[in-house]
Amino acid sequence: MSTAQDRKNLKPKDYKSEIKPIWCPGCGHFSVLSAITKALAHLGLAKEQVALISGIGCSSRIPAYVDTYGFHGVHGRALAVASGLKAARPDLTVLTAGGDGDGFSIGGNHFLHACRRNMDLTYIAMDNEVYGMTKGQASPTTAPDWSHSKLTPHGTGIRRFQPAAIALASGASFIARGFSGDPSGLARLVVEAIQHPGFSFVHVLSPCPTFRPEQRAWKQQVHPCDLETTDNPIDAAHAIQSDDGRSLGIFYIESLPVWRSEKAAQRSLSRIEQEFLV
Amino acid sequence: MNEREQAMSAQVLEFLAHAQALETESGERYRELSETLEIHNNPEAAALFQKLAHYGESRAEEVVQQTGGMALPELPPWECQWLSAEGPHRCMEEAHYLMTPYQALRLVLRNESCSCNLYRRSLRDAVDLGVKKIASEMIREKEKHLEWLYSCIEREAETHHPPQEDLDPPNAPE
Repeated sequence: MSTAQDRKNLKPKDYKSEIKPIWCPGCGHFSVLSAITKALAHLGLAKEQVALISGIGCSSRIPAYVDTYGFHGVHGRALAVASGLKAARPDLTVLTAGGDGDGFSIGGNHFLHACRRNMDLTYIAMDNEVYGMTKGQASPTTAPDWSHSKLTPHGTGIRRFQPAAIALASGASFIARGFSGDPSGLARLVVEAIQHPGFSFVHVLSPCPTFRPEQRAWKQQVHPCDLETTDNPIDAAHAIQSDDGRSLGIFYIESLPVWRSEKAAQRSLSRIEQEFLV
Repeated sequence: MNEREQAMSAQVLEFLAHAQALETESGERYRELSETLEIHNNPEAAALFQKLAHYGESRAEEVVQQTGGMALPELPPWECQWLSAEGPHRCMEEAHYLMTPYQALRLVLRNESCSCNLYRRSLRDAVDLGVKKIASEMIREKEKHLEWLYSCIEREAETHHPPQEDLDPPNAPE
């Protein structure tokens, strides 16, 4: 168990594991990894008190690269696994990370209910508007006219999934958007998301230089959100709906009841271990 | 408080904290690129970034030595005064698994020029003479490094050819 002094001395690189990322050079996910480790170091969290849970996809490799507890889980089920962990171990800081396909398509239903349940989780969705690991298919956040995949040669023709709007409608109590090209600003969002009691959703624009090289232009397109952070869902809805998808900042923070497992307090770790023995 | 500590004002310590953050970040970013390019079977560019990572790490250590054992103020990343939101390192998204040492050096040149401009800004804007003195030293060091980069680029340019076509590219859509 680390002492408070040990934790104070931890630097961002101390939260990186020995495993080297195999993301493509230039991938936005490197900056997200950097932002997470900076946030953990800033908060001085003990490594053994943090768990990072992911699904499947390029971005979901991230637990391997962070030197905390982690679970590279089941496609689309990162939030389900994270919710289970938080219910059983409310003392842990539980972070969830993944991509747009994992979180909004395969895991779309879990996303809605995680927002609604408002457990004390932080969800970092790394959105590059493409399925990168399976070599470049349209994802739920891809523009309807993106025609670079052989599966959708004329585009999907389907409106984009709107993560921030859907998070708000589903009951998330913290909604923010960051950009991997602004790693310091992103680190701040992750810190605030972790500190927020309840479900925190951080939507990260994280370009894929391999399948979406045009996303390098995001750097010129992002801008701070025009409106100040609000706790009024109507104002937040207006800000999010009138947004061009490139505004950055915290859209919405509200203090809502946090769901906790009533039984968690009665259960010791040894009891949980006994229950799982076959 | 000894003479050195008296001379080391809060402004100097804040400047050194920025310098340390900048050089540390530089070392980490280049180390990361080196490891990634090695994984992507590009040993030439990987070796170059490894060398540059070592330079960044050494510079970060030298900055710490300048404090004479005094603790630097802890700056949250978002309180660092960089030239842009991108932080001290720009254009990292231009890295590519096929990049040649020439292209890698051009990317590094842009980053290191940006770092030098940060020190120049400090020299220009600082009121504290201690900051001006250390910023001047940092600029001299950076200019030497830039000269070295220019000479490497010139040398590489003589033999540089654009990357060969990858017959099995990772981004062939399926």
